[in-house]
Amino acid sequence: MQVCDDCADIHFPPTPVCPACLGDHQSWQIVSGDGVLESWIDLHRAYWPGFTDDLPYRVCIVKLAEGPLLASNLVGPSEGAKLHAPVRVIFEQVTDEITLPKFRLAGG
Amino acid sequence: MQDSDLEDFVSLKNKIAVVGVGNTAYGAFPEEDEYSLGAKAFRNAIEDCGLDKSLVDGLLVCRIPSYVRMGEILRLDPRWTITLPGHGRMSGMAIVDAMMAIATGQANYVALIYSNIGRSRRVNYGGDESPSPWDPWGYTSPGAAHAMMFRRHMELYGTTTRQLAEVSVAFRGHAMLNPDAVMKRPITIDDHENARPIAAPLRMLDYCMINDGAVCLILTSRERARDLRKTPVLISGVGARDQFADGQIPMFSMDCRYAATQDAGSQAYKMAGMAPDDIDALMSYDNFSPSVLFSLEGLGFCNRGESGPFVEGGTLALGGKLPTNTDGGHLSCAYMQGWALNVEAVRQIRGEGGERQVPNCDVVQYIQSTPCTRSFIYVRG
Ligand SMILES: [Zn+2]
Repeated sequence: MQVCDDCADIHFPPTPVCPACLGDHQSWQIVSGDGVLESWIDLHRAYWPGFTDDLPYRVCIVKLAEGPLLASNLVGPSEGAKLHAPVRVIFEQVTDEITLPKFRLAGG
Repeated sequence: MQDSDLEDFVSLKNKIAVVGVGNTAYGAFPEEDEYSLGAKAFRNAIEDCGLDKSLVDGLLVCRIPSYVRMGEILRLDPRWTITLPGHGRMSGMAIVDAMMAIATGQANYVALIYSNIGRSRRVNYGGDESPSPWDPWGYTSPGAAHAMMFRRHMELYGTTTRQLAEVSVAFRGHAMLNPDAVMKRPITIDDHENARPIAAPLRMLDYCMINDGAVCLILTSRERARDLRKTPVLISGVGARDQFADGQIPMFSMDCRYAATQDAGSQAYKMAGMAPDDIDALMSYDNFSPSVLFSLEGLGFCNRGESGPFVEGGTLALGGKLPTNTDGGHLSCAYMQGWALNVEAVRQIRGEGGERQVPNCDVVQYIQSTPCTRSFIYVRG
């Protein structure tokens, strides 16, 4: 996550100046990977051909323990999905160069 | 907040009138372009109010590539010209801009022309046409954002998809009474439940259509309106609140736009000196059916979280407690991005609703609960 060196505002996606204090000095910080589930849906339509084989696939919105919201995929068993359920990050290697953070229900 | 040297916007209450409205047919017209549809809507609006078109000295175009070409086609030399992009929230912003232009003497008669050829050009609203940082996870499309918000509503308040279906069913019933509407096959709550899922919990019948068409409104001052053909419809209340700061996930709002809608609604009610009880019909921006539920709560037609039970039993249908989107809305009439809903507000107050007319319709409210939330209260002049 991007963090402001001056006021500690933490945000994502990254911004060219800090949205809180408008300062230039920002750094990247590794976060815990813990969060809570804020919503989830199942997409039955593929807007890109690459997703066709995955239909339906589950997309979620996670609020990280550090604050920012992320859209991601909820993977693994998710029958117990409910609002504010704790989730934890996993990293899925998609290609040699691309790794995507995804989430699963904590303890699941 | 008020700078005493400046006029208060609230002083514009009942001073600006919608005098002419026009639209084209709605559907798929691959042989037309934005200009041909826009010109026809303009012609219809001019006929509607009986204005000499050479008096039009303000031109606002939306979703139309070139204001120069539009002005050339209509042979206009305005004093005031604005272009707005084809986002589904510009109708509300456009009407406020036109009010200000008239109030400050920048233009006497403003034509607002909206044109959409998204159907025949196969606009998609998702995927590569609207890239976002979340594409790698397959999270795309405004529909997905509304599905995310509705899921929160289900989890927080116990709202059901059968309650959500009331919105689509009521509007389809209205469309069946509207000669201009595209979707006329009757639907039931069960049809909604059985429709194809797109972004579950949302299904096909929760999505607006995409179609071609154009809409035109002509606005002027209350005084000038008296010389024109039809009963003027006055803008009595205006409210506005944008929501960009927490827009990291496009179109998604953690509070289902409650605070912004409440803010815009309060401004409009205060300016008009009215409350939700005074509203005879509501025109609610329905890109997706959940937007209507969120609008009802933000405006205070029901308590927060109670829109599900509120809409049960045909509340939003003609003859119900709050007839809403009496033209069929985006869900069943046409996807004219709020523009046609403002036209419908005018027609209802004039008593031009035909089979879909709300009896004794004196006050109509428009609401767009979107990243740019706007609300208007219209009254008979
Ligand atoms: Zn800062």
